[in-house]
Amino acid sequence: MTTDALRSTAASEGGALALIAPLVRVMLGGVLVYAGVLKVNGAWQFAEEIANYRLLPAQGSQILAVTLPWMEIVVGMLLLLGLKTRAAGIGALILFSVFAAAVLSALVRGLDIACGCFGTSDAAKLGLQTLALDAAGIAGALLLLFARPKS
Amino acid sequence: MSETAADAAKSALETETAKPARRAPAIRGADLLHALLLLLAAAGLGLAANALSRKPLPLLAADGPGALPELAPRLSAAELAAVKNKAGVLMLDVREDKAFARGHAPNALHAPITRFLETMIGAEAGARVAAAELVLIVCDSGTCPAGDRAYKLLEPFGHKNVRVLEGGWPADEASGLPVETGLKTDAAAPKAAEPAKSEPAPEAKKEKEGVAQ
Repeated sequence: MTTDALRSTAASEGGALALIAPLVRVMLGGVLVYAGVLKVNGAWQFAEEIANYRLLPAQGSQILAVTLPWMEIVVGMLLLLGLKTRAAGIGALILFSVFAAAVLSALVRGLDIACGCFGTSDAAKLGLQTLALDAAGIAGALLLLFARPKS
Repeated sequence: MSETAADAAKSALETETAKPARRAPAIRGADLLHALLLLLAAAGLGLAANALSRKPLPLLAADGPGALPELAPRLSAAELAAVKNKAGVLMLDVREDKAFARGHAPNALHAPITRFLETMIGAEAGARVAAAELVLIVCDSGTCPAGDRAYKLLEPFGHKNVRVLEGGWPADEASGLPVETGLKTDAAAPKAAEPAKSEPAPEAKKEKEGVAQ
């Protein structure tokens, strides 16, 4: 086997993952930017929604209400633009893991609260579908991290 | 290139391709650090944007919007049967349309929490609350943060006797008292044993007439 053929074989390894990785990156980025933009102008209401999870003191909910939307926007924009994708992928993984932990904790405690996932326009109740969305986000971020070459 | 060198290169590449797991980029410490710095920078942007906004969120206020919702006084499921059919008791249902249409107490006032104030400033809804001796808030389940929020929003109306039903609608439904289905107008006047007037939700159309449990 020639060296070129070996290189070609190596490049085709994990081809399916490599093919869908850009799509996943854009989708993940789009969801994060969308969620962040919807929350950024409704920090007061978002702080109430975070408080409903009963996980943080008032100050924690308020600080998170003004910082979290910007984290989503910055990480999402980087993913959409394909810049610093490894750092942004890890950022997305951290964000979705935190969301999933909060949602799981609320579900275990039987809290019937609004998700707050997409800002004040979202009256959707917290449920297994919310957890599924976060799990999909985690899976997408992991796929990005393990399918993409280092940049 | 000599044949030996070419063989060595080929062997090295074969070894490399035989271990795809090692080639997959793992999360390195440097990447993690970059991600944390990225999140910190974004948080800084958020704090700056808040400081520059016209109505900044009070970040360190203990009684700000992030304060834990005040728990409204509860009415236990055991007490429910004794008070539910008494004159002067108003069931204030804060669940959303779909849940309300599936079943609610007869003559309940429907004021979904997402449009609570909008409903309450309606003249008839306001009058019904003002005329009630006891306002009993019904929500989806026992923890009922929507009920606590409705309790807080009712404060300016000056009603003294407002309670949240412990266990929410499941407790009400399990009490064996009459249940109606379908939607009805928020401001419908209370008329005993009258079925829901307004158009029922599609899924509840078949069960328009009252269902006794």
